[in-house]
Amino acid sequence: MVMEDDIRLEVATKPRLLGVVRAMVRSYLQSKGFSAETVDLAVLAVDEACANSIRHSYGSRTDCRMELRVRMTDTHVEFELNDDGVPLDPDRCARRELVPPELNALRPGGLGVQLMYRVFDEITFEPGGERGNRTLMRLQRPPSGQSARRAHDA
Amino acid sequence: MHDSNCLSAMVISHQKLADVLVVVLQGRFDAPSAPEAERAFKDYLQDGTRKVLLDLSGVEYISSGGLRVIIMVSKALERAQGTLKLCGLTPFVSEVFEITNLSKRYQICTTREEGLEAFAYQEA
Repeated sequence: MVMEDDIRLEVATKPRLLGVVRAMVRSYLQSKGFSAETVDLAVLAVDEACANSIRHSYGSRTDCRMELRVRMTDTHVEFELNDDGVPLDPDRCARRELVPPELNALRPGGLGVQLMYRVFDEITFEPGGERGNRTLMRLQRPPSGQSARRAHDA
Repeated sequence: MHDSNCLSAMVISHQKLADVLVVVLQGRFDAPSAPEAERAFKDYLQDGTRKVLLDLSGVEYISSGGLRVIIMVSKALERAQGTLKLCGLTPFVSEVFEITNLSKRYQICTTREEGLEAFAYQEA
């Protein structure tokens, strides 16, 4: 069953505007009963996805657009981020262990993507053929009547 | 954690206590504020400072952009046989350090005083 989007937000690729995205995500998850800790981490992870799109898909250009869709399914909240930039390198988007002291963290996209993996239950990166990316991030809904769920262990 | 002022800038200040440079960050430490922090650290480390205590008690939000600056500073210090210690992590910042495994890489002290003591102990 295809779920309708609750929210569709189109935003210019200006880093300062990510505050608007964060505020929207925070408000939405709070209204759905997610715990404060989960909300904080999910806001961070969506922020990372958007920053990744600006930095890597659009090469830090500020005159482009990206779209964030948010919806609830029976089991999850879904964030779908679409851009029309350069398709991301699948290798850059793979999940890796972050092992100190090297951490592999200074590579472009490395740390932000790994943060996303540790917050969401499922992430799908779908680079387009010649242009564009679709990133789908899923987070399990809190059990009804409760508002507790921790982020995944690293 | 609140995200009420999405346009607030980060404030960076520093203070030299004996041979320890205490750098205090306040506000949001993310991609937009990271370049300013990077420039500040480069200035601070030009005089050969090798002991840096980073006080994050005023940091309400940190993303990979901020974490990347911390890693770069610590690597620069390591190349100069120096040390970076952290203190005052808020619960959110602490959680981000945990899930990225950065908490295993750095000595993290609860308070600034504890951080300064850790440097003194390291000296002894």
